[in-house]
Amino acid sequence: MNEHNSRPARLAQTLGICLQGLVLGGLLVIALTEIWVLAEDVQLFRYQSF
Amino acid sequence: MSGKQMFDGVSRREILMAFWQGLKCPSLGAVTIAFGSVAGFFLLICLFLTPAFWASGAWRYVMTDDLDVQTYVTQKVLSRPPSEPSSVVLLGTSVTIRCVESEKALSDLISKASGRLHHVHDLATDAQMTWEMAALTEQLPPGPGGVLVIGLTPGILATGPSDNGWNSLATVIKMPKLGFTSAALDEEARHAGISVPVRTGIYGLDNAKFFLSRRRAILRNFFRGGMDYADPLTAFWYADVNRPEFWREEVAALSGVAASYDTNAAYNFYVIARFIERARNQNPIRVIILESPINPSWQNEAEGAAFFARYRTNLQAFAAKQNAAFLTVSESAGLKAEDFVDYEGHIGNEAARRRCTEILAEGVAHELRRDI
Repeated sequence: MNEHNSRPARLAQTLGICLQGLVLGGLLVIALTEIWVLAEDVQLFRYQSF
Repeated sequence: MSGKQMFDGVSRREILMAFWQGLKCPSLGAVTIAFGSVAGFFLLICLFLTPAFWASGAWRYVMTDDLDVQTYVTQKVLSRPPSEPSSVVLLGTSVTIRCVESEKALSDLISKASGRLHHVHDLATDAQMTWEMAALTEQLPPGPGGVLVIGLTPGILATGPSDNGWNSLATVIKMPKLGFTSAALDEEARHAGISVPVRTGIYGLDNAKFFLSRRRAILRNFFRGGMDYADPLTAFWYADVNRPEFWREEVAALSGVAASYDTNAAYNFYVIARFIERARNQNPIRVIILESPINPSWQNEAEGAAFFARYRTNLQAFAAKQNAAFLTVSESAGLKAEDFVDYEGHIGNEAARRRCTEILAEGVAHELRRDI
């Protein structure tokens, strides 16, 4: 990764890294939740759903 | 603004490039933040998803549809103070649900007839089984001098703990329909030889499956807004059951229901007796065994007439054994075949429901006048 020397550029790069982490974290949460649902065979009870 | 605008001597383009580089290039920092945010998410669930959540009004965002009575009753049970003096707790199934105009209407009628204010907790839910009744009674028992009304149907008594399908105790333990765990429910499961998952005492984890099963609804409600509970007489499935072909299927299924009833009724009466005993150990209360509405069309079927006569005799005998009152609404409320949408006993119009509510209120008020 290229290093940026100026303070605004370093700040922008850090923000990019944070956003990448948050997006990855969100995707991980969704993936783990769906794995949990599949592993436990989670289903929703619906009365009289013919 | 031009693309060459400078920030502390650095061009806007260079800043955007640095941001883009941070965003797209793999880095230990991003991975750390990703795992940290996952851990943070689950930590927040554990810390903030507590029974107190249900008192906040946010329960409307958990509703899967406007007749998600399991979410609605979970909200009542976890947000109301237990054991209010002289409160009335009503248990039952979808049949019992449609015998009550509203909690307020029933409360008003009982209070008027008895001359004293009585809060009503209508905890009836679709396909409620005796083990769920045990859990609900444990969580929100009637207060001292209150009344526990147990609305029964043949279907409740015909369901065995280890049956296949959604309603068995084994399935309810694996896939809870209500949003809380219960020591009474767990005890019934162990008693029936069904293994109980480890309970951590952390609400969000112990009830994760309840919320996970509603994850798409929660997401949808987050964007569209929450839902209120609708009038049960508007159920979408009424159109599916209110037709002669379906009624014929119900009549044909009676022999199977009767066989299951003969197999499982004694067990279910035992479960009911146990939660009545637990409730009485907490407070001096009155108990009513309610025969939920029955479609009089059964009297036109030889097998139906015999089965429902036997069923009523069994309820009366059980009530007497439990020192409980027995209440039937079908004849007193003058319910006719055309008041029902099916043979199972779901009332289909407001006038019949009102009459049913009035008879129920009279029965409860009568019981309140009796010494415990």
